[in-house]
Amino acid sequence: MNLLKRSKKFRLTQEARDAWILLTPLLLLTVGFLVYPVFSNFYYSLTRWKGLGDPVFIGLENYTRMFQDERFYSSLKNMGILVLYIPLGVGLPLLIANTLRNGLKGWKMYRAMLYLPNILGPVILGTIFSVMLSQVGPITEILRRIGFEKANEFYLLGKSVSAIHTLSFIFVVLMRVGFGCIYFLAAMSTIDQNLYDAARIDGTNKFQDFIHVTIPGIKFSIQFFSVLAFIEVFARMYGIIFTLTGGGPGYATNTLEFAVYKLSFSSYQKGYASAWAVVLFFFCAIIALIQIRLIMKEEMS
Amino acid sequence: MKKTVNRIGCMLLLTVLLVSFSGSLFAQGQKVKSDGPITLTVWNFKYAEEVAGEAFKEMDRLFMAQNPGIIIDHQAQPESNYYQMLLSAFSAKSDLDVFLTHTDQRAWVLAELFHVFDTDIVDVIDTYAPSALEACSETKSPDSDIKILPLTAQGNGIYYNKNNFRKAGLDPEAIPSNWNDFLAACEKLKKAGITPIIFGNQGSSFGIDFTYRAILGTLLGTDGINGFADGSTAFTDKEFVQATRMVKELYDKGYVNVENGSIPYFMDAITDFQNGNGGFFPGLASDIAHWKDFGSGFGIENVGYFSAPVAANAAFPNAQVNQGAGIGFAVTEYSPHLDAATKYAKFMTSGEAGKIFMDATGAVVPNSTIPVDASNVVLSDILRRLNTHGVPDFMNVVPGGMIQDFYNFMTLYFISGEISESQYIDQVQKLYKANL
Repeated sequence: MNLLKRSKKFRLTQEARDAWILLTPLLLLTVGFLVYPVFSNFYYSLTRWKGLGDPVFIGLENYTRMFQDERFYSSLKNMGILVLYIPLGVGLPLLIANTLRNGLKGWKMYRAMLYLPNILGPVILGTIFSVMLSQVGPITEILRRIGFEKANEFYLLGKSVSAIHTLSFIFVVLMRVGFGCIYFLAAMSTIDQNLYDAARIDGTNKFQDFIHVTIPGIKFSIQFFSVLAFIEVFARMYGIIFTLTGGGPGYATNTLEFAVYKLSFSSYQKGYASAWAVVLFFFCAIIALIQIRLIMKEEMS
Repeated sequence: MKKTVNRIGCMLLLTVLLVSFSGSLFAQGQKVKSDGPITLTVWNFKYAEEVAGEAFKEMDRLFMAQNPGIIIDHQAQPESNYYQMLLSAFSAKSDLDVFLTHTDQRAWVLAELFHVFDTDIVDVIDTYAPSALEACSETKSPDSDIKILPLTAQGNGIYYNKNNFRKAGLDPEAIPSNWNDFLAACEKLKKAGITPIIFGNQGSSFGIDFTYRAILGTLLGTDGINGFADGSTAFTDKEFVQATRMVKELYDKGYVNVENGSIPYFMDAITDFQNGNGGFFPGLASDIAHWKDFGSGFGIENVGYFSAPVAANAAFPNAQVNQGAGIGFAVTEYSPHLDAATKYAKFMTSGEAGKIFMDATGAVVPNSTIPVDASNVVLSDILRRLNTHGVPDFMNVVPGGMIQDFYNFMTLYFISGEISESQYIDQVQKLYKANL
């Protein structure tokens, strides 16, 4: 009798069975390609392993080494600088979108121009800028021809401070401005026109409209775009760093993500690189939690 | 509805089965074909180069004509991340039989999956130069643990452009190998509006690195350099400090091309010197960035060479950095066609095939079955230096895991000038100890 009750309890409805059938392949892929690698990375972070042969368990040695490694703190500092550019990376497309929304002659052309860096992608953009900014690149040549004889002594990517700021501006601001404009324009189109009309009756100007109507109206979009920017800074910069600066000069443009690659594939220290990847994982997990919370909050509202 | 669900279920099951089946076939690669000709997969980071690539194609054609049962599937791979790709291929035991490799630390880190040639080359071991075999042995022995068959002999030194020497009022036949003469020559070149030294340091600081190698050879000699293998020589030793100061002096006096930090050594800096710019260039003995490249640019009669700029107190003033071997062919330990793969590696590094490579690229193939052109004065001089005053290459001795970080510190000290000499030395020593 009890057995029958239990089997009834666990009997799935037709709908649930269908759901499981449809979800199973995706779940298997998720477990195989996401969950398993994450857990195995935790294990490898406790080993000495170069990628071949058997890993040797060394406990927390990699973590001790990492917290004493200047490169680790330098990577965190660099990521901090990149994060500081996010307000500009969000604010600039927001302002441009607002300008375009209010009508600007030839705005379609501007939109295409702004979107171009986004279409090119980080690898191509990195390569283009590494050539453009080179001491033997076209900008230097133009400057020399117009009389700046020592233009080749000026190299934005050659000094630590200018290199990290150049990288930050290109990746966080320039590359995202096109997508940001389109995204915010789309979000602005959902704002009820009556709100603007009502504001006008109250005597607001365009700036006040922007502050009191537009921004509150697309608050969720702004938050979401900011979270996306964080994700890109933490986990999608490899391509542009590789092509633009290679992490240099020295470690000036090294990030956690790029260091994981370098340690793993250039220095063959996969165990140590895994320890760095664990830290990166926690940063990404925090961002993901914020993102989920934002989405849930929006759904509830 | 139930029927639809069943259909979806069946389709999913079929998909899973198909993916598994094709995956296992993929993993097996071509190896499932048991009859018919053998296909050897060969990876090569020089195959995409115009001259070397053509030479390899011709060598392959010759091999296949002589061995009708073997097909060569020669694949070009990018040099920039070649060893990362090899590591991935080895980890997955993927379809790879033979591969071109350097003989330095980049290769030895992965050498546990290289086939040992010792028993395969018993009949021809005498044809390979012992110094080349030592470089190709995991234990640096000329007759055991041979894991690479050498295709090129390699070393490095300083080339100079005799034309530009004349323009600067220097005697092109008076070799300025003494440090003071070297600095004086740089000064004269600079005054004549010629960049004294061409470096390429973007990405990896090879310009600085090759100069270091040459100078350290004269300061440390064989034993001193070999000391970097076990920590008995340190980066805090006075010889390394002196070599550092010598290189820094070149920067401080403005003798190095201003753009060195944003041009890569391969190929931009090489091409720059080849085009007739600059007085001196830290180049290689064979294969690339060598007498043939520069001779084709400004005439072999205008190419000058010496082993290193030599400090007054150098204990080994005639030292010539000799890597023994630069590149060679290796075979994966897990290759299902070991015999054919070994045969191919032997073929490519000797006799007619080796000569094709040498004639096309100007590489010195360290095999007695391939005579070297004795009428070439520059080449003869380089070979004489390599054979009589050879010292190991410092960068081949230090742990491979530290090299990229070492380059980073070179950039910070010499190029961007953001760290002091003591910080540089301390950081490099710390790095060395961590990798020892």
